[in-house]
Amino acid sequence: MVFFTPVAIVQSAPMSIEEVMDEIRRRAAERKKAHPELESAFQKLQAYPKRISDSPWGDLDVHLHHANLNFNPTQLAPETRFQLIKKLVLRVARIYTHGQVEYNAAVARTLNAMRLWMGEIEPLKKLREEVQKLSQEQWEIIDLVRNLNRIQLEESAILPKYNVHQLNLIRAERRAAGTFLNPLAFAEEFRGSEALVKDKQRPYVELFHHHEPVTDLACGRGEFLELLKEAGLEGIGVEQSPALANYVRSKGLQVVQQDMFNYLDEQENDSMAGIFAAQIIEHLDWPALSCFLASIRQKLAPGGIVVLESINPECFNIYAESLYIDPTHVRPYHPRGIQFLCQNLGFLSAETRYGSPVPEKNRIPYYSPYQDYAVIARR
Amino acid sequence: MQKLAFVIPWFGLDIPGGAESHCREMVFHLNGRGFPTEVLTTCVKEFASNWNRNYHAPGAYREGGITVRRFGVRPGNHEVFNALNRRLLRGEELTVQEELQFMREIVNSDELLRFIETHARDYFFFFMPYMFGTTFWGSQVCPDRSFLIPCLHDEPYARMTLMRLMFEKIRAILFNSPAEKALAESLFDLSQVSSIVMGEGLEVGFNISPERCPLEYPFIIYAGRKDQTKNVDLLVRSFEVYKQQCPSDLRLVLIGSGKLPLTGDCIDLGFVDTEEKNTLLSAARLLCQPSVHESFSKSIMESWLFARPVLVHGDCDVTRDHVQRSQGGLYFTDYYQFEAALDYLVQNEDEAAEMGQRGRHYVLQNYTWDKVLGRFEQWFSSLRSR
Repeated sequence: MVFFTPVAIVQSAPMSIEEVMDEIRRRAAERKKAHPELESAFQKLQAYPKRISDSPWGDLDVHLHHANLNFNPTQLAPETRFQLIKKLVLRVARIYTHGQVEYNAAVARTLNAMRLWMGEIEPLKKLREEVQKLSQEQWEIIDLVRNLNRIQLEESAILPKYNVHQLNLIRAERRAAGTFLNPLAFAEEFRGSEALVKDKQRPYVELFHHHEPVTDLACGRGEFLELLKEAGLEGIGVEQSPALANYVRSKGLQVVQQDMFNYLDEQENDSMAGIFAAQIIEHLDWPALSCFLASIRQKLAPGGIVVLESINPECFNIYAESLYIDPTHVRPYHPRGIQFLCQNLGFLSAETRYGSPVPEKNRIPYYSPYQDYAVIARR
Repeated sequence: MQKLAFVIPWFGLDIPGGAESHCREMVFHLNGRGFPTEVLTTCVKEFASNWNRNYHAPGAYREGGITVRRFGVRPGNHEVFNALNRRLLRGEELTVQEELQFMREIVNSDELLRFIETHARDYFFFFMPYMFGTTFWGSQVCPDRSFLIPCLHDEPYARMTLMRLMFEKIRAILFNSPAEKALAESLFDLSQVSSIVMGEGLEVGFNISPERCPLEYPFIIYAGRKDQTKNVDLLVRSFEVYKQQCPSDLRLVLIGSGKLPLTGDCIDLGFVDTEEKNTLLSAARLLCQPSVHESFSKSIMESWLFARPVLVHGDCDVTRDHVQRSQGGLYFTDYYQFEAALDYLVQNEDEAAEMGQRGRHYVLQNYTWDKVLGRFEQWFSSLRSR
């Protein structure tokens, strides 16, 4: 880059303009002292709005103050001389000035009201600034998205990797969320007693006849594995928490201590006979859920079956209890939505069953009385 | 060899305006030095004419040995433009959407953009000045072949968000003065943009004698457009106050387009031809440039060429910088300084003449066409070889 700085002229002569300017400033200051009125004349001349930050209301408030003080010319200041005579004159003149005073007062009142109103506009202005800032950021985001689109088009091979990356993030988050909880106490508190859970899950057992072995994803305390064992069916639990996995193992049940996403990844495609996933999907956000369902569809053997049990958003009671009791819940998913997703992923059939009815006296008319649902999809 | 295309909203051999004449002279001098040069412009006549009207017919013209391609304007909505413009000049900030609307309504030509797009490989494009639709939209077509000669001033337009996009994405910027560059750097992030301070060039070697001046009284002069943004009001009324305070036969002569209400001591000669202008500049006691929105200020250079001192507004970094570097005049920031400085220059003829000589020397050292184009050639070839 070539930089060019204009050549300054060497001061060959004895005079420098800064010296002259000092003299001029001195003279100017003297003149200003002697004739301060010229300054204001000059200021009024600066017609072009150079300084844009100055408050537009500085002068306005002064004028308004004057209007408020002087709207009634028939009122005399206390120190006025010849008060008596002047009062007499004013009284006579009131025949004519009365209307003017009324008018002045009305104008002053209007101006005061408008000034108040202008004060209220100030926060709105700030809001507008915020919006402007946002729209500027939006502009930057548009640029970013454009670049991203371009990169994606050029290197579409990145896309599958992007999903894996996203999954890794989800796993990291899940691990972080799980570390500070005591899983057993947590299950007791939020899932209910083991006997209660077993009662709720018992109806699903018969679905898995001829679909062994059954993989129970995030098996928790192993209630469903116990039910399977009682029915003479083979079951494998997958549980990320070491404490829960050990607990399940201590009951003599088969369990793999692993993250369920990793476990699914490691299975052969078209290899799993039955999958049971109770109270899982409400812990997943949308990207994780879509990965989860796609993965199940991929791993399930032809003719295989999956049961996805979750809390039912059609039932109003869940909002008072189960949904928000567990802080790791992300959101409930509507059964019709899950059913649609399964059909859309290429499952042969998908149907919904409802369970966990609300006690009669607690039901809310027009809304579903069932707190849970299960979407049963077959490949 | 690729051609250099100068893109400007309007072009003509005799239209007024600083950027307009700068463009004209750049084009002719570059052409004279062997750069194949063209002008791309709209069919609008000039700044002061109707921006929605095609004064010229579209097509290629030959003017002063240069190809001038004119394209039809896309009519803008005058009312919308004026409303947004008023808000901008009042100092209000517009949203990005409003700014885009503003840019759509300001002088613009779709045909011109299409030409740039289809002929991008044949040209390097030099857009000027910064605040017009032809420049903003044109420079978006192929930023890596686009150069900007902004003629930037410290004014509300310069603070638009869209300007940031334009300045920060263009290939390179040619500034007229170091102060203009400093202003741009304070407004935009130019770390990724090449730039050069090139300046404007001046013709030298006139044969002018002040004796031919028809005016018989001593006078100071203002040369340029007479509109509000140039602060001429300030000069005229300050001069009136000055005359009341310090009576003499000194007058203020104004030359250039535009009209102002004037009293007896101020004389408006309107638009004059070059020779007349030069005669007046050489005969004046000094030239006053009250504008605070200058990116170069050719008129003070012209005054210096005739060895006359100048008086400039101290709030304008560009002109004050010229004066301080050259030692060729004085500056003022309020009426009292205006009065004292004017008085000094009128009373001390020897010192005034000395300042004028230094100013002339400064111009010859820095701003003859030879110097300016030399700088341009060196910079442009280094840029292309990269």
